[in-house]
Amino acid sequence: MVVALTIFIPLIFYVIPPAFNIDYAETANEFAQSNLGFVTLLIIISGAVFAGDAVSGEFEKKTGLLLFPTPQRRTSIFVGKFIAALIATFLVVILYYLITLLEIVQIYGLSEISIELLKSFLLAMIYATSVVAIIYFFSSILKRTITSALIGFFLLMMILPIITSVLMFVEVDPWFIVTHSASLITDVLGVGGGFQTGPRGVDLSSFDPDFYIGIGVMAAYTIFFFFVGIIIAKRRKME
Amino acid sequence: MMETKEIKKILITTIIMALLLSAILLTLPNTSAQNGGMQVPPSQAPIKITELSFSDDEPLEDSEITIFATVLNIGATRVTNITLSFYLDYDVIRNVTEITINANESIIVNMTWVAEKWNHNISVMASIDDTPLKDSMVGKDIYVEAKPIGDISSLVLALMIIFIIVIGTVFIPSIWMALTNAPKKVNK
Repeated sequence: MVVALTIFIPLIFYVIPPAFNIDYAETANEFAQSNLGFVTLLIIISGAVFAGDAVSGEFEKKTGLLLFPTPQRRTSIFVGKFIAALIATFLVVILYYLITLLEIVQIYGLSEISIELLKSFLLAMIYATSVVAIIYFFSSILKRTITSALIGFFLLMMILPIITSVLMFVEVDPWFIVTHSASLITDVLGVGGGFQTGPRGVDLSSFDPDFYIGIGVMAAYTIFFFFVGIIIAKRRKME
Repeated sequence: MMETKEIKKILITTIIMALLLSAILLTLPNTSAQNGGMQVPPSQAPIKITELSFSDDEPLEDSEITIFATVLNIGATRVTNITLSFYLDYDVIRNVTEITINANESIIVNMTWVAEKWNHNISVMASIDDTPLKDSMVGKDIYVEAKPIGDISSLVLALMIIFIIVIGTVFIPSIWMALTNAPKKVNK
């Protein structure tokens, strides 16, 4: 399902404009921005699918009864499961960017590929580590696989973005929220937002995430939730 | 005879007085206009903004650009006390006051602006005594290209730190145990 979505989403942006006789975006970066606007969604879905059952699955399906007595430390087992979820999510991100890249080459030519696209790709990889770590954490504290996957999904898709919007509305910079930092994935492409047609209200552009703080926040979320997840998973008892 | 002479004197004096008065009345508006006063309502002053231009039409974010507004007086008299207001996305960013333009002359008023990224509308409007002049507002859109954000090396470094920490969680305890000769803990 995740692979199907990874192929399907970028193809929409490639197939729909000619089908409705609409021109593609003027520049390759504009095209990439519209295309990559959905990569965060895909990372979250991928993280929920691959990391949601990493720990809780072992306890829920009792497969841990076979796995834990093996001559491996529990830490190694759980780190291995984290790395497996991470590699699967990375493959999804790589596939998404590869399809986008091929589309850009076909529409705009090889010369239009910018270094910003590589920055965007690396940011997506860092964000993927944060998402996997957060969902992995829920997987280690919750009993059921579906609950951990859903809580992780809704936290990243709805709750954190809503908190971000509320904070921005009351003019508080939400720099510490990982989903806010994730907007760097498209921000680095340097393509403009909408036209300001009315009097200027709250200047939301002043809350654009800082590049270095954004990386720091994503890395901090990854390290914190990974370690807490590992510690809880290691202490968890099979019921 | 005396009466006729007196009548003539009175007539001549009256004519001279009338001529003087009419001369004064005719010259009075001109004098007033030349002294800077404007005899037409401010909103109908013959002032037009003929051009609005930028020193750079495709500036980069945070670069300083100059906005030029060409103001033309199409009337036959000098117009004073004009205020030129510059707007960014319909918010006033600068007022240039007490501008005087002679008849059939134009002046260029400019201001500098530190470009903010993305699309903006910059407009300029002339007014006299806080009364906007008719058809004196001119606007133009400008696209400011965003500055390149960040660098590749920081991203690679962040990814490497994450990988080292994750992989290190597995290997560091093993290395530590091997170094301290502690027996390997096996799960039961």
